[in-house]
Amino acid sequence: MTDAIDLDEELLYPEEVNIDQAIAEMRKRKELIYSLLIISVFILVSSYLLTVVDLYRQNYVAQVYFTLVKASQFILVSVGLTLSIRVKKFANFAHAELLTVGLYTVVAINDLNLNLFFNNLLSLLFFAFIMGGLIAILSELLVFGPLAKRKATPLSLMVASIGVGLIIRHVIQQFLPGGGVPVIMVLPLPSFWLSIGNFLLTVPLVGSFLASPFNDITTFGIFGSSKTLTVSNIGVISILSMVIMVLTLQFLFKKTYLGISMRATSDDEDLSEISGINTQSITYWTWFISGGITAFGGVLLFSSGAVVPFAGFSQLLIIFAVVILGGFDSFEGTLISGFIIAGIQTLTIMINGIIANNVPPGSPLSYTVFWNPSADWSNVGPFLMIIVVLIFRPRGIFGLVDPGSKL
Amino acid sequence: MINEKLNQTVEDIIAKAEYNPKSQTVNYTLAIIMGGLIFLSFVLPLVFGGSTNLDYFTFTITFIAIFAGLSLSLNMEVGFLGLPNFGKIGFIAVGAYSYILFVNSGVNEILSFIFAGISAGVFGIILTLPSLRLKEDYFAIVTIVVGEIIRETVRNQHQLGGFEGFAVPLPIDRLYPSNTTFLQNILLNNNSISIILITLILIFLYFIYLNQKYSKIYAVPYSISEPFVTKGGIQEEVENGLINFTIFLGIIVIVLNFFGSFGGSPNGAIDLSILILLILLFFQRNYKFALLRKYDIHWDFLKTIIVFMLYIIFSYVLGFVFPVNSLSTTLSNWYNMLLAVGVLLISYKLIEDIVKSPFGRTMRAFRDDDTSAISVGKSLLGYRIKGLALSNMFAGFFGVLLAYQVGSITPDGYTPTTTFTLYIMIIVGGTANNIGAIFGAFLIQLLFQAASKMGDLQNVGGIFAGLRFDFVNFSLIVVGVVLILFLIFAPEGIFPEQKNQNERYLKLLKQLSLDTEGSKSYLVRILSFFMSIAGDNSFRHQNLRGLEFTENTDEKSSNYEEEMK
Amino acid sequence: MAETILKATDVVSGYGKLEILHGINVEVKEGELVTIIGPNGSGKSTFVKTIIGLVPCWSGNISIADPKENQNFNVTSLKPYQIVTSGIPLSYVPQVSNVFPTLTVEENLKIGGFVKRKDPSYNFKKKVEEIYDIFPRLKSRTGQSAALLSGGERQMLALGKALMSEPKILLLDEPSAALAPVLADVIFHEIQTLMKLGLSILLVEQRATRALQISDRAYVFVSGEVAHSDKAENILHNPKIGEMFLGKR
Ligand SMILES: Nc1ncnc2c1ncn2[C@@H]1O[C@H](COP(=O)(O)OP(=O)(O)OP(=O)(O)O)[C@@H](O)[C@H]1O
Ligand SMILES: [Mg+2]
Repeated sequence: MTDAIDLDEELLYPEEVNIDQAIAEMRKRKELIYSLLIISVFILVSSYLLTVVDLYRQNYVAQVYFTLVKASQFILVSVGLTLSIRVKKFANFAHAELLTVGLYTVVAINDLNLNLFFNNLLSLLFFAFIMGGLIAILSELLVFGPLAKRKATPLSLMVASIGVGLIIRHVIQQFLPGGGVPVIMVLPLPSFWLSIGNFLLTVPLVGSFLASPFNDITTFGIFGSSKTLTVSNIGVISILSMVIMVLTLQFLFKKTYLGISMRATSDDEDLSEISGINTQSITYWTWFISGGITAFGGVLLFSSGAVVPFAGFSQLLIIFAVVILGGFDSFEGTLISGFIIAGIQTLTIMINGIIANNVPPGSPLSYTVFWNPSADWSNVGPFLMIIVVLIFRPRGIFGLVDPGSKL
Repeated sequence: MINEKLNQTVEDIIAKAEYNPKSQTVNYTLAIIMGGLIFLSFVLPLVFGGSTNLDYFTFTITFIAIFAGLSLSLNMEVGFLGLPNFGKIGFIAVGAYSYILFVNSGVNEILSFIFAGISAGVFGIILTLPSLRLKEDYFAIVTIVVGEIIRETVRNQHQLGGFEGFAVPLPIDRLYPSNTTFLQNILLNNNSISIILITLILIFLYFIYLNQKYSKIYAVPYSISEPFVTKGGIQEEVENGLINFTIFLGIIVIVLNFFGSFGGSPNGAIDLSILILLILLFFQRNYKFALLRKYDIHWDFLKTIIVFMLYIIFSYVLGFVFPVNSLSTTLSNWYNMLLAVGVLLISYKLIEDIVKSPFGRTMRAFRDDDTSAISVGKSLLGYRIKGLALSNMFAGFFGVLLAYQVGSITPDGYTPTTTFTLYIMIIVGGTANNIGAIFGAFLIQLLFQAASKMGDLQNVGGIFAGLRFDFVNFSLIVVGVVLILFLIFAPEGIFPEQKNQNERYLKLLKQLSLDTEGSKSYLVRILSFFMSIAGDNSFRHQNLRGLEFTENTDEKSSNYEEEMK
Repeated sequence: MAETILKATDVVSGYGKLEILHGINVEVKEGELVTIIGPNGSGKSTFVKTIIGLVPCWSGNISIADPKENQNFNVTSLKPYQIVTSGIPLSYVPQVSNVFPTLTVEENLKIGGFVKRKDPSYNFKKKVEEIYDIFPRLKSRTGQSAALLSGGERQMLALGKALMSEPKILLLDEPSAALAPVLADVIFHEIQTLMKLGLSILLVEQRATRALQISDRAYVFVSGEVAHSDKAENILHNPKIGEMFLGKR
């Protein structure tokens, strides 16, 4: 037996550099958040001013609102992908199909002619959540689990997820209500919801603001301009549920057993097992939450459009754009990039509209691709963004891991 | 004495090969179950269908051939280069669009076709950039996005056809006067072509005869092609010159015919198949310096000739069996089929040679372990550029063929779904195996075509009439399930990647060493011939040859002759 | 005579079809520090992983006793999390990747204590303070992610995390691996401190001399078999083993 050793702390732990780096990294993130705040204030103010000035006869305030709604919906449908990538370490191409599952859950319940207790906005969203979660668990149970057990590479998991997507999409088309025919979802508001809205309207000054999630449509005047901002309840609910979802996830991951176990499992599965975490059930929970939020967000995203079996699939790449720009497995990143992608979409559409309507034929701009008034550039901007980001900063805005080259 | 040597060599090979525990197997059971079931679904509409069977048949074959070509191209990237390109459809679109843009601006079809391949190849090179920076799954997403950007751009730009796209005219419409029938064309107008064909057939029959004669004195299968190489001197040169001259003549005559400036022989379909044959022959004979070792060529050469003989006979016979009444659609289907199958065979040949050449070996080395490949002085960038350019060139060619077959080029024909389908094909067939890629395309397309036919028949008659079932949709579910089952239970696919030393090879070698003369070796020879048609080239002469049990071929053959006497 | 707390009889296990351990018999008694030494690749880590259930046990029997509660658990065919959560007082510190890199130090400790989260008498805060008392260095790193710790700190965190579940027996797989000699000494010192708290420890070590000096008994593994077992001092002074493993001439 030897004696206890007393050693100089400094001599023992020479690796202080790491900590400095960590602090620098954290500072950089803080700065990023501050600059994002400043940028958003700038956007708000300038959009207001431009609307008042009436530049090119556009309603910029309304555009900002649409962007906010879009961004919230994008974040809702993308966060699940970030979550599953983080825990399962592969890009799930069947993710967009979970969105379709949500849509058709609503369509199916609509079709069943149930009473308003089941067939109202809130319970429809709830059922969509449950159904999306269950289908996600099913895909893990039948496909991804067995594959992971056989030590499949991320690439073959990805290809398998393409197969899963194919199956979900076409099973919906084959067997479920509507088939391939476009249908419109009905999202009735429960009566107590409406009466809350009517009550809130009576609150002085901020009444219509408070009541906006409860009424179908609320119209605000824009001070200093003849234009108005029309706000739908779905839009406001999207923004609100995005905020609530973000806060809930934050709480979940930082404070609860489930959340910390999820992060642990994503870090190191074996170590989680020996620390007493049932990684199997944690994986199922991850899928459930991921699928649930996605289906939930999908219903909000498609609330005003036609529902077809390809609905979710059509959003796949936008979802990936959000996730990649954010850094593939970072929640803060997904949050910010949701806004950026929605902003780029709005911008491209706006620029296209302005050029197509204001540039006379024969001028140089009329030869550009933007001159086509029926063009749809909403996806190209985000897609170019993905390429640029992946090539010049592969880890995205907030990526934890540098995807690195194959070398 | 020779036999002793041979036995010694065989034992050496076996001893060496036994160090390699991983042997090649083909998942025959899988192949038979899958193939059988799907083939049944193909036959069903043929048996119970209406009167449009010939179209169904040609349509299916054409789609199979086109998709086989596309999956060959994808397989080259995914299987051999190790770059999961999920934007394949974008490059197919580049091929089709550049073809139609060239044609619309007055370039003739053949040149446009070639330019289409080139522009797709050049576009493929841009993928090198992300591939150097990104891991596999990130690369996959970048490529899928590249494909989508290409699609969205053409959709929004009216100079590129916009949303409606272009119609694709078939060259055949110019070639055929509408009042002649297919049969008439064959019977009345095959002037110079028949002569060339007959000459060629005679020459090759002679060679086959020579082969038979000489092969009897050799114990090993490479002897089939021996007369082509071992007989040096004047005789060989004369023969070679004759063949080359015939080939050249044929190519020139047909090309002139094709553009209508030489007597105007309009039997385009037959012309085309012969043209392809001739070009291929020319390649076979003359590009051995470029890619392959000397002795490989001739075995493949013979194999290709036989396949093409069958191919031409097949096209003739079918032309007689199914007289063509409704000229335009049936004939253009027919034409498309010949074109697609021909281009597929050439592409298969080229790609197979590329991946088997030292170039292909280096590609696979980069795929498996790029660091060590770089460390022996290979340029990763260079190989990726070349590999991507080549594979996407083929994608461009088949993109044009696909446009022919579909009849139009619209942006919405180029969605990522097609890429996914191609992936399913190569995974079911077997990645990094060209035969596998073709077989996968065969199965999946057979299924798709059968499903769409059954869907059509619901409105026509037969047992499917009135059946309210979405067959097309259902076939997609089936394909998804099949993909997942394969990934879980047979990730190597039906035809796993070929390894050099394998069980079957050993088995045959053992058989060979037991009985190196007489009827058995003849049997082995036939066997090896069919195996090599099926893509298993492991049992080939160069394996034995590589062991150098005799240095001098002339000396050896005389030795053999003495032995036989 | 102290009670046997861990007993492995005729354990056979391996990876895939490859048999690594060919019938191992190891026993740890209450309050004992038992060391396993042996050359690289002799199956030491595999044995510990078999105990915890990360590697399936092909045949043989592994049982763990909790003398205070007078219980005896057969853990032969249990999964790792089942072993840990079913009240068996066992903790394992792997040889490599033994902390969660993206989690903070505190969260790592929290996970260590998850097993006890339904136990009303368990006070997480107090336990964390205890750990910080043992490893004061960790306290200043509470909110920092474990990836940014130095090698020595990481081993301490791994030990601390293992101690959070109040184990009676601790399986340590080369806690001093890849550490500078001074740091290794600190770790050995901490192990001795832990012994005083009444734990039983099964230690796998490459620094054989150092480990043998502090342990009670030792097993020598050679290619998946127990080649020798004896009192630690005897092994330390056994000239043959000394020549083979301890570098003595
Ligand atoms: N995951 C695995 N799959 C297959 N074989 C493995 C695996 N892990 C270890 N082995 C093999 O099992 C044998 C024993 O490994 P083990 O890790 O138990 O050795 P060890 O005694 O701990 O060595 P060291 O002192 O280097 O840590 C080695 O031959 C090793 O190659
Ligand atoms: Mg070890």
